[in-house]
Amino acid sequence: MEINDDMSNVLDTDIKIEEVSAEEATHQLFTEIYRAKKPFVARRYVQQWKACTAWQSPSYLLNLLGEDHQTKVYTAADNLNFGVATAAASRVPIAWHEMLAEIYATDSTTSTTTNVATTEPSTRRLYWKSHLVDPWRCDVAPLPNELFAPKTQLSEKLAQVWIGSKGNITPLHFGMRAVFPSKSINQSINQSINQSINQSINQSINQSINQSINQSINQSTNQPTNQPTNQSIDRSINQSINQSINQSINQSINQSINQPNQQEY
Amino acid sequence: MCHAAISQATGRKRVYLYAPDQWINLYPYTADITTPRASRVDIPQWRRGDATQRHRFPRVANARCYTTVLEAGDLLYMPAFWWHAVEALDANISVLTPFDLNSDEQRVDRPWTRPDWGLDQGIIDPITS
Repeated sequence: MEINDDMSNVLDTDIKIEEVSAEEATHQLFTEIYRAKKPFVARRYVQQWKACTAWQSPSYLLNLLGEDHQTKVYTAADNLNFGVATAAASRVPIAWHEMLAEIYATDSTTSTTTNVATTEPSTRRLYWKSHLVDPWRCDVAPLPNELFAPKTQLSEKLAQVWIGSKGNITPLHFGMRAVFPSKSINQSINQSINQSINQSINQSINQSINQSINQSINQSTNQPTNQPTNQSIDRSINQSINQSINQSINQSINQSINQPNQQEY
Repeated sequence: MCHAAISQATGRKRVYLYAPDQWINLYPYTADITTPRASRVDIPQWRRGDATQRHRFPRVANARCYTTVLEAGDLLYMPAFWWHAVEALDANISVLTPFDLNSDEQRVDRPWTRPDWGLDQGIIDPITS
């Protein structure tokens, strides 16, 4: 299949990644030969996973979360490269059944004899990520702990499931966070601060105006010589805005710093 | 930074891996953007012979590319710090299980933290980014 498939994109200078059979793939082999030195493929190592059969069926996947489940999915600005450094992939809301329909429609309409990079897909390409939680987790047992970490166990907290369209490209990078940045902490703080400030200002202005108007009206009605309503409104607005901004900034910074999933893989 | 195992549950993926020391041939972005650990090169297009890519990034020809196609049921071990690009040959589902470096492995040269990272690229017809 690979030889006649121009998606294989093989060059003479390539080095084929070393392969071991599922039986050969032991923790001893991993630590002595490969760990931190070079990649390898363990062929059919996880073929006993329920996922390898059950997840072939879009209807099974549909039932895993329910067709009305609302989720978010990555799209690519060029409908091809997910997370180019200068135009990071963005996530859009979508219903679970729509997402599966789009991903598996792309799979059947772009035949294997065409070059994925030059073929216009009938639909946009999508990339969906989930932490390895139920119901996904129970279909991928056992995780390859024996091979990689027989004593410590692989962290399910870091593990992820990725569902993607045919033709999706993950551009060249290293480190897991380089391509799908969930924003740097600084960016998060800045965005949160801006949002909060805007919200607070609007709220404060509205509250202040209402309060001031009410006060002024009351005062004016009782004491006709009191200061004009406009000055009172301005003063109240400024006070309120300053208070709100300070509060918001502090809250935002705390929230941003405490947000999970900021660690570098 | 972590090691990673990619287990292919359904469908196929072609992976392109480069050792960490190959950064000199891979034109990383500069340290002043949010993703300095990404390459400017469109690897699939470069490999297909795209003239613009090959003109701009000639040193990719010197980079040793480790590649394979992952099929359903296969598991790939990818050492920490290795460059990788991935191309989905089908609609597919993968499970990624990262795991930590040991203390020895954390003591590596980290050229991407230097201020000149991505600057001295020798790029022909440089890209503004």
